[in-house]
Amino acid sequence: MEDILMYVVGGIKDIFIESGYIWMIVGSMLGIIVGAIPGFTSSMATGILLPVTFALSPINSLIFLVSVYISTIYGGSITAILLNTPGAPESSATTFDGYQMTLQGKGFEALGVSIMSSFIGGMFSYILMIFAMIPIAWFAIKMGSTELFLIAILGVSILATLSKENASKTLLSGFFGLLVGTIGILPTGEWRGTFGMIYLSDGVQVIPAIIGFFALSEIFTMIEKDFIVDTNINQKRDIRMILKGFVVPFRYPITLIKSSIIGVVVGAIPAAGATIAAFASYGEAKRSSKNGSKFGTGFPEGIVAPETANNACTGGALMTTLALGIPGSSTTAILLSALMLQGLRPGPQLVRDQMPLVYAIIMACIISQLIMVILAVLSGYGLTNLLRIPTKILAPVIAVFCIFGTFSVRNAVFDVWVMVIFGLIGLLMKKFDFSLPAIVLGIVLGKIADNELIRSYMRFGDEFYLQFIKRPISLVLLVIIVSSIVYPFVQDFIKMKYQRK
Amino acid sequence: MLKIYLNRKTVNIRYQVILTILFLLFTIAYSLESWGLSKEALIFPRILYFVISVTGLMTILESISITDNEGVMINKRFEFEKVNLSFDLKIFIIGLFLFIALLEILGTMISIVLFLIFCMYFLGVRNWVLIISISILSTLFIYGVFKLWLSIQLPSGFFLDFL
Repeated sequence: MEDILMYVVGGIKDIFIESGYIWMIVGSMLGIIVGAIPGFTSSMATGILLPVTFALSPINSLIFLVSVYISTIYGGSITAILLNTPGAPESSATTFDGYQMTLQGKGFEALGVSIMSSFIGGMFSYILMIFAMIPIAWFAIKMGSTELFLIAILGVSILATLSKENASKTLLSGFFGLLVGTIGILPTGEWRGTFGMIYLSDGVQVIPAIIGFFALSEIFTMIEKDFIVDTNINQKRDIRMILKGFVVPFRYPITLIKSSIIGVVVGAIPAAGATIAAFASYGEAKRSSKNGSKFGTGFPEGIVAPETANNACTGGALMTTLALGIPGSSTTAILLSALMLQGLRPGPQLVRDQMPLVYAIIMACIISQLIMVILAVLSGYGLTNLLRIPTKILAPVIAVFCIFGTFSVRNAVFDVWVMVIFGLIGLLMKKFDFSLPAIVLGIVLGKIADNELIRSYMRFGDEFYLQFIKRPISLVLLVIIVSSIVYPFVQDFIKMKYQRK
Repeated sequence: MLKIYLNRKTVNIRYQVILTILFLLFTIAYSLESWGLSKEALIFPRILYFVISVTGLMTILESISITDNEGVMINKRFEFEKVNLSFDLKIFIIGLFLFIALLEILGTMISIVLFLIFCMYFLGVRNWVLIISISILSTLFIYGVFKLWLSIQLPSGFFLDFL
């Protein structure tokens, strides 16, 4: 307990010594703006802004990105509520009741409900992080190379369970991403998959992949529309309505607690993400509520559940990213890259050797939540005007920013070409329902998985594969991976057989 | 979708098979390129070759469906359903390729201005004041953030050395 208190105080001190609070404000503001733009996900926002952090210290760069991450998830609810268009996938479930409240003239009250629910969900997960990081670190240190390899594979395979209708396409995307992630020079000095290109000796850079797949492919989609959102709905702006909405979540304490727990647990599962947390929470709240039939008609509890869960998810995702080095979501994959760019190695080593930094990040998350509430109230006013900018102007300008953001990684035009190629592949993947998060996660995790497997081989020799069965944690992980891959197909087979009967 | 008409059946192949084939071709190219590397170097890739092949095959099979012609006589053998790529998207992609290709020749400032003018004009923006002002402001913003703040050396091109 004393250790935790010491780290918490140290974390707050580090934030103020480094003027991290400035980056929290900037990050929160940018996150809300970007999150409110439909199609701009938290992963896109952090991906595009990642190069901006090169000039910052490690702690400020992480504070900035974490603030962007947290605020983007809230930002998506603004357009979800006011325009029935989620600014980010995580806010999709918020449209069900949020937009109905707008139609009833209570749009700004709904924004207030959303802000407070997001705040409570986020705070729950970060306070849990304060107490959970040390036990998780203790557990993480027990993991060897075989376990870390399997966790990397789990990150990709579990996506198949979460997208049952497209399981084979998701797995193909994920494993292909893993293969792309293995390109580069090995510790043995061999060049693998580089096709003689010197720029690939360091592997495929994560930033061009992230910006290409998430940002550029979305820009290509945006070009085909005149405006980001086609709507003429106007809402009466009144700050008192937002403040009225602040007290509403407290009428549903059980929903708040359940949604927070769902968010943290789902967030901790590698690659699950806030979208799943939001839908799972909405479904559970509707099922268990006394007023379940009112969900979808503009009932505030229908906003409380998803918004609490999607923000609680951020803490869960950060826990697995920092403690295990495995991203809990696409955005935390970018945060993982940010840590590596700053010379830090996320995972058991980080929590063992850099606990003050970890707690500084947790405290930054808590303070960012407070800043987010203030900025969110103000942003509810002017943001919808941004959506009136024609895409013919917005898309080329954002594309330029993406190009130079990618260029700045290594000052190489080669990376820009890689970004464009990934952007075009991303466009095709969107059209044909392949999973973009799977391929990006694969690219991020490919090198990690490969290094851990080689390490395992070097330690145990030709019979290294027996370690997957002999070691208890490895065996459990192996069973989960095989189940997650096989489950969607078995379910389909059983469904088909049942239909034939 | 590609339709292949046989005597009594039609084979329907969804275009997603193109992406699957691209992934498989890359995997084959990777395996050929990595041929002869040490055992440690190929442990993980070999596992991936196998799973990519299996999932690729499954995706190809899911892309193919066979339907009855229901007695209707069809004179042609093949039918390609057109893929609609909007003019705006084509222009934007062309503009993007030209921009990146000319970036190191013309330099950062000129390339950004030309790219934005090209895109905005051909995408339908006709207000020249808006086009020029957005192009210049965006260029200055990029220069300010990347060159002045982040101290990143941007391409100066053959013509302009003062960058």
